[in-house]
Amino acid sequence: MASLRIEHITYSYAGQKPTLIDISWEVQRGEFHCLVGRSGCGKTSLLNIASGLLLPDTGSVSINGQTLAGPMTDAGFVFQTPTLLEWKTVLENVLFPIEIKRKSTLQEQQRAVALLAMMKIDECKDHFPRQLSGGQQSRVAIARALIKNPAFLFMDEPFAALDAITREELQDDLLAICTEQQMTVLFITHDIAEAVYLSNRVAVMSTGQIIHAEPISLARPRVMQMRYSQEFNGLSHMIRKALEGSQRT
Amino acid sequence: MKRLRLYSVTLLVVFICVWEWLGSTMSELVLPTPSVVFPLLWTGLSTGYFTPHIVQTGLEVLLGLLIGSTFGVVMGILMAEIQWLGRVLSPYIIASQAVPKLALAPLFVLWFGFGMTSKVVITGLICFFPLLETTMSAIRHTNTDKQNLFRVLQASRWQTLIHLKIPEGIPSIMSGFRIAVILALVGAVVGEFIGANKGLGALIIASQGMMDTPLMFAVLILLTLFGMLLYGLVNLVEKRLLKKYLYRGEKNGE
Repeated sequence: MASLRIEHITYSYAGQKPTLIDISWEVQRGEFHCLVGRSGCGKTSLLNIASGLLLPDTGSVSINGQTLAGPMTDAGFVFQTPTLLEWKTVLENVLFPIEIKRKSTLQEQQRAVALLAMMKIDECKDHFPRQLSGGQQSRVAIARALIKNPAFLFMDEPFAALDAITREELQDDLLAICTEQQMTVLFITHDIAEAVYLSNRVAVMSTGQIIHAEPISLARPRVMQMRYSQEFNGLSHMIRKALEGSQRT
Repeated sequence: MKRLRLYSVTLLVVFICVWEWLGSTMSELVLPTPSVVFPLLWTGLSTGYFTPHIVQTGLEVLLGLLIGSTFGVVMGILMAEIQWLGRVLSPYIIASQAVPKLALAPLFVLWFGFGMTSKVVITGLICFFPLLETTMSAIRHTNTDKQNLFRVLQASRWQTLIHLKIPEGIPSIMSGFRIAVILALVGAVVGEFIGANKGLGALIIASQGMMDTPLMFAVLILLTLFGMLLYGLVNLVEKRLLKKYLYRGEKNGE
């Protein structure tokens, strides 16, 4: 089974105390995993290591048993900031992962428009990023990450700048597309409910370690009503307790 | 907007009136009045007296600007991209800039003669530094997340430079260029002060020798207009060719 396996990694930024301490984690193919934790606990570093953007000091990251030595080829990435190219239009930005290597085909252009429609910003496709709000820019960045149908998706608080309703709609859309394409996702969020709704498994991080792993057994596909179920609340409560526990220590 | 423009024109009229009044109270040798300077300027232009001088200075400025800024941008990119090269060269570049270049002008005249070459060299050297500095810092300070994006997209170093670092750096590079444009004019004119038989700077020195202050004023006005024209050209190029890089769809570019 194809999977992303992180084994005993440690990482420290030059001259500082370790950001990540002996972390092991595994994401099976098609699974959606969320990382939650307080600011500065090392979530983004872990995501960067998992995607090959950073190389660990010790330990290894492997895909299908092959150790990663650089940025993963078949991955989409949504960074904390939208990182759009301001001199390109929204549509050009979405197509950019393809256009940097070759000319895009008509189908790819249609797919880009369809992705923008899914993100509910297709009417802005000829705008420049600076003409969009923060939330709209995040959505363009998500469309761009999905354009090549990557096997892996790494997302760093992609919905942080969105309003509650749009966020819930996009969560459903993202889950649909990930299930359909069997994407393997590692997702950082500060929102416990979001983590529970999206994930197969939630990792709670604190000061460079994974202190709690919570399997989410809610049925799929996930639907709105589940958000108000007892099971959902129970899971949210468990994660919150784990997070609070980390605060006390 | 219209009202502001009106204020601007009024200010010019007031300035000329005050100048006329002040000029009329003292000798023409000290401050010639606009009523003397402007007719002289017009005659000089219409008879073609100024033409060879304008052409000479214009060519020196443009050639110096072109050569100096091209070298500046290329070196800026190289020094930002190739770390060891930046480390090796930067003390020398700083040293070369610490020498006041205008003080080198006599030497260049000695080496390259009274013709255009010496002035182009001085102008080029003066334009080099602002572009080197702005290009280097723009390329070095490219957003890290965007660089990571390019790494994820498996972009080569060349692709990252062409598609990310240079486009993102264009606003800073252009601000360096604006400084270079004005400095270029200073370089050419001062070069001509030291030794030249043609050019607007040479004309100023000649008018000083002849105690012809109205001519000196006419040339100063020509130089000012020339500088403004160059600056305007840069603005035009920015608006026409570089609009999306500079204004990025924001309203002030429209």
